[in-house]
Amino acid sequence: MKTQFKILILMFSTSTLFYAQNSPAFQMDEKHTIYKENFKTNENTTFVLNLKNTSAQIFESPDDKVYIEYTKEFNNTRKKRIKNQLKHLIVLGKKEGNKITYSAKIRNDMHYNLYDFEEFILKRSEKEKYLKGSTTKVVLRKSLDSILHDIKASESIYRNRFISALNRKTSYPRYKKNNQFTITKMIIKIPKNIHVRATLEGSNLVFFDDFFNRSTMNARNSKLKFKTLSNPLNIFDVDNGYFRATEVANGIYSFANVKQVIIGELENAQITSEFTKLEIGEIGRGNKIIDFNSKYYLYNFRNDFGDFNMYTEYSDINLFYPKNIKFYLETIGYNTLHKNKSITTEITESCKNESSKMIVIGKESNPNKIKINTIHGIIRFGEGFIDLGE
Amino acid sequence: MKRDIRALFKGEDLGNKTLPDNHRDEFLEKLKKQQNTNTNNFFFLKIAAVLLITLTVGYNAFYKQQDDEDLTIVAQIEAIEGEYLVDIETEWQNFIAIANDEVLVARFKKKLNELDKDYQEITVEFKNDKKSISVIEILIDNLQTRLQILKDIQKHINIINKENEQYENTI
Repeated sequence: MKTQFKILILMFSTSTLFYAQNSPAFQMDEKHTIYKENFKTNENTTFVLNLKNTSAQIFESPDDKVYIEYTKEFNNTRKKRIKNQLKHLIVLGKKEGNKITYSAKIRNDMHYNLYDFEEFILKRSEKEKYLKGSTTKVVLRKSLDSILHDIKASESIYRNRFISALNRKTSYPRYKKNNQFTITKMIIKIPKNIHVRATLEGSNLVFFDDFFNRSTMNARNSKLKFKTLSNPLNIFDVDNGYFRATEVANGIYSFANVKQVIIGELENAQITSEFTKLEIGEIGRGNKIIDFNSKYYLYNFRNDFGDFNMYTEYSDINLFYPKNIKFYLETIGYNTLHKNKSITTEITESCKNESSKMIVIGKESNPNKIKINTIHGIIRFGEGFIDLGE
Repeated sequence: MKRDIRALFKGEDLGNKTLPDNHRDEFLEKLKKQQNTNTNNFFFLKIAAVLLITLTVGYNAFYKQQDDEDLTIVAQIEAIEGEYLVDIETEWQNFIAIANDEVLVARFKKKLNELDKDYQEITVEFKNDKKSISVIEILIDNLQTRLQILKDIQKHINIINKENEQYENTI
């Protein structure tokens, strides 16, 4: 229990995201405003965001200005430690013509009193525990609501646990003794008509409003959480880390080695992926996926999903049939294993490795078509569940 | 031969040398002064020495503690890294033993090299900031990703090969 509590403290002190906008009843000793500025924009403005090891909350601006506020609050923290923490912050904002640039680089300074590094490192690195997830035997169909709940819970779990820990502080002697906190808040408000170009590294961003902006994002080792992403000019390049969005409508998205991609609804999007695990709650119209060696979980299809195309190699696709609608499904390629309930079809590798039509379900004249080009793949189909048979 | 030693001092003028009246007081005063001076010097020297030792020991203890903590983390990370790299190498050898697709092997090699390059960059960051939880997480994630993709592709190939031998039906 003591360790769990220390982890909570650490989460709280390292990130703004676990902490809601409403301040708790807890009074902090010192508040430092690291950066506070606003910039007027117009439709030609580009907002360049460079964040490293930074957590930020993103909101839609109430007017045509970009607002940035970055504060740190300390409780029961020695002056020297505060000074040391502030010393390692690099924050810069400027406006040049139609370009607004905001850069932040933060270095953590956690004290051992608050954290059992040894336990953390050992637990985090347990191979058996980490690889345990891959031994799942059966995958159940998830509803769209269930996926949306998963996305929402990914943030609130930590926040709620921390808030409850705050309320129960008297029951934690160690908390009472140390009582040492740092609350970091970086809030960025962006008008919806400007272009956002973001380069993110080891950062953690939560977008609290639907994001209509044209976005060009390059994220590495970062955790991103969105509501709706809907600009047709969106270009996302995500390398490692996590990506969660309740809706992705329009744009081009690239995922490489991403530990978890969860998308509620997908529409008019092009996804290129490799070595990634992706879960999609509902497939809408006009989607195209190009993949190499990822794991896909496609839970539902909208009634009018139209053409859904996948081009895959060494991919592991788990597809739940569209419910309550007629559809056409075909797979083209070679050397791919198809599993449907207890029936298995293996299309062996042809001498010339030529692609051919492997399975067909439904009439080709149907307006809802699933076409999967697959080489060296595994495709499992299911109604309510899919037996991975591993 | 017997001899009276008193005869030796005969003729010596000893009676003229007399001590001043306050010689005793003067002597005591001089002695006191000398004692005071010596005691003061020694006292301050002791204080200085104690302070110096305390500061040195305190300074060393403080930084040694920090160094020890840093070294512990570095040692742990290095141990984890070593363990993972051995496993990754083993899985790589297993993978190339069962993969008969050169393009696939080349693609994995490229990916593993990219991840290794990424790891080296993060390691530099870790050396500058050993207490950063997020950096440590990213380091461990990187190692786990490498091991995971190698295990997954082997499982993938084995499933296809196994089923290929057993079934040839049509849905």
